[in-house]
Amino acid sequence: MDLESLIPKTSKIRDSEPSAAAIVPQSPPPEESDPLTGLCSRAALHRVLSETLHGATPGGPLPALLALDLDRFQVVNDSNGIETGDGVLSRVARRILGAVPRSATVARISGDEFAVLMVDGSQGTEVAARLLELIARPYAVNGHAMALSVSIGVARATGALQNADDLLRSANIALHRAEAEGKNRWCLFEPWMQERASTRQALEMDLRAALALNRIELRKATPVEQFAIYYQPQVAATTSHLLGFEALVRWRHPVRGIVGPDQFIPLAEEIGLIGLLGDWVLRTACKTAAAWPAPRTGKPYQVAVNVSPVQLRERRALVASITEALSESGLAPERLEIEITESALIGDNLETLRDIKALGVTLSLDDFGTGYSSLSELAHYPFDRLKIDRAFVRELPTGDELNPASARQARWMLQAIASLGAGLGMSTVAEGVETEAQADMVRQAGVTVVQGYLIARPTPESELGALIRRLERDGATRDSLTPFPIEEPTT
Amino acid sequence: MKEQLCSLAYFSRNAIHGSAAEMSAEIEAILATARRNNARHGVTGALLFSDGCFAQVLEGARDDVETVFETIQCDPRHKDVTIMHLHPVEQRSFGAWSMAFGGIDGVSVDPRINADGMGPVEGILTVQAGTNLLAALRSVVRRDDLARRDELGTEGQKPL
Repeated sequence: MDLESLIPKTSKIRDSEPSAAAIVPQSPPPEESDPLTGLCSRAALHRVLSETLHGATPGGPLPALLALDLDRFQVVNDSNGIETGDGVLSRVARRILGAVPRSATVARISGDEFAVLMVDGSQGTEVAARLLELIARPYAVNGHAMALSVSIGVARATGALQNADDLLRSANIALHRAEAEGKNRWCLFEPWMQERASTRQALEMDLRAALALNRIELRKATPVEQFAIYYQPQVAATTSHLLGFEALVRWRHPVRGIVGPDQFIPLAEEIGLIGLLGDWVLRTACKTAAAWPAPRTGKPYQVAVNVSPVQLRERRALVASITEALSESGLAPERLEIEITESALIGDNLETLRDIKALGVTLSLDDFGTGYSSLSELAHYPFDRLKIDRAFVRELPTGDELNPASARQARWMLQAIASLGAGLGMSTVAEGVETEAQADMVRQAGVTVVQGYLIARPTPESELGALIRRLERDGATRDSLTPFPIEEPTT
Repeated sequence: MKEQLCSLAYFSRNAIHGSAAEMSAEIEAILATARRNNARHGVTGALLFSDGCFAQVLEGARDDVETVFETIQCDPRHKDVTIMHLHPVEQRSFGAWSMAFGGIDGVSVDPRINADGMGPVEGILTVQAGTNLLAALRSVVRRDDLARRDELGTEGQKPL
């Protein structure tokens, strides 16, 4: 490629930098260079990096390493062919060479990954910002016009004693952070990122181990499991009759203690273990529910199990998992309720939901009202129940205090959702109800089911018998009192 | 067999900071390099500068056009580059010019070729897009051409 460019040696913008025209890249020997781009190989970079770190003098400039990864480069190869992809890669290499200081070492690490080693790392982030802009400019290759972007991790050496692997790892951690934050950006490494990466790694190992123990437990009867299911009751809003329980998974780690689901569920989703965990929760919850005593009056208690959007994508596996959990436990399908969050409605999940519904189970839409709530779509989905997002209940006054505007709004929202549910033939559940005042307002709004600390906290299986007896008693007591002066929602 | 001709048009924003005089000088430098570089690659075309934006058409053999374009892409004096078109053409539109220039807004290298009722580049591109950019550039180049012919007498048609 022609290196003589338009860039004059008097460029006003980059006085302190050599212009691209003046750059003669430090060509590595053939055995250490990448044949496509002529850049250094990974091995050559490692050698130069070690030498540079070794040669850094105390008090002198400390090197910086930039790790670059082209965002969605595979799309270029897939849509325009490998040859065009290679053309883009050599242009990217040229652009990098033209934008870094002359003393820098530029390497191609793998397919679409590059690295820049700067002897004086003080300008590391400035160079990263420049590379970001330069690489994002469009490309014209083999008659194809295309644009791409890059994510960059920047790591500055902290001292002369740092070794090459550490600096490479730091730059990569920063790169992954830049990618996780949405790509097309640079990120400077900071020590907490390393800590977080290590913590996450440790948590992942523990999670894998805990799940392995659960699988053993499925076959043997010895309870070595670290996961446990807690059950939170749901009662009829008007009569306080116990209707059923929501199954909530808890992780009791022998050293970490209780790990919150907000910590391990996303991790399990990310590392592909949510299917395994979800399957265990389904089977265990069904088995437990099948053993619950029948209520003195009314329908047998239901058990509600949450299904993650990631599980929903594995249509066949999920349907099989539910089917097996039901047949294994002998639980009547109508006693199982599957909860799906609103975010799971994005995408093509309608068929999966219909499959689940066809098994005879109850389907409910969780966290309703805050995420993806296309009202026109709602009627097309086979839901039986709307679980109102707890944010609406949280806004309700907890006692006799004056009603602020937000509380009035929340009541209107509850009422609107309750009548929407009634109109569509769905029951409505208010979660997070903590006080009698909130329960009253929820009832007045026409919501049909109540769940929250006011009724009971999530309870381990061993204490469920006592809880069921108490709630049965409460329901019976309510029956003997004057009914609430509330109109039933018209269905 | 003759190589397939292709045409590439792009649009970018000026990244030169300085007085009008410095900008003029810088654009003149861009033109000088472009004309030298393009002539070497057999690339012809036109450059329009207005309202802090560049619009340029490059035409020639595909590889040459892409090579010249990539060189321009590395230039820090512009930013926010957008390719307007890249497609094969039957013939050149600016055959006589290694790089014809249309400057507007008083930063023209030749005051006689200031805009006669021509809108800013951005307007041409966003409102009228692709083909009209070519038409707009042609009309500017024709004026440029006439002005130079006045100046150079009979040698006016000589490509620069």
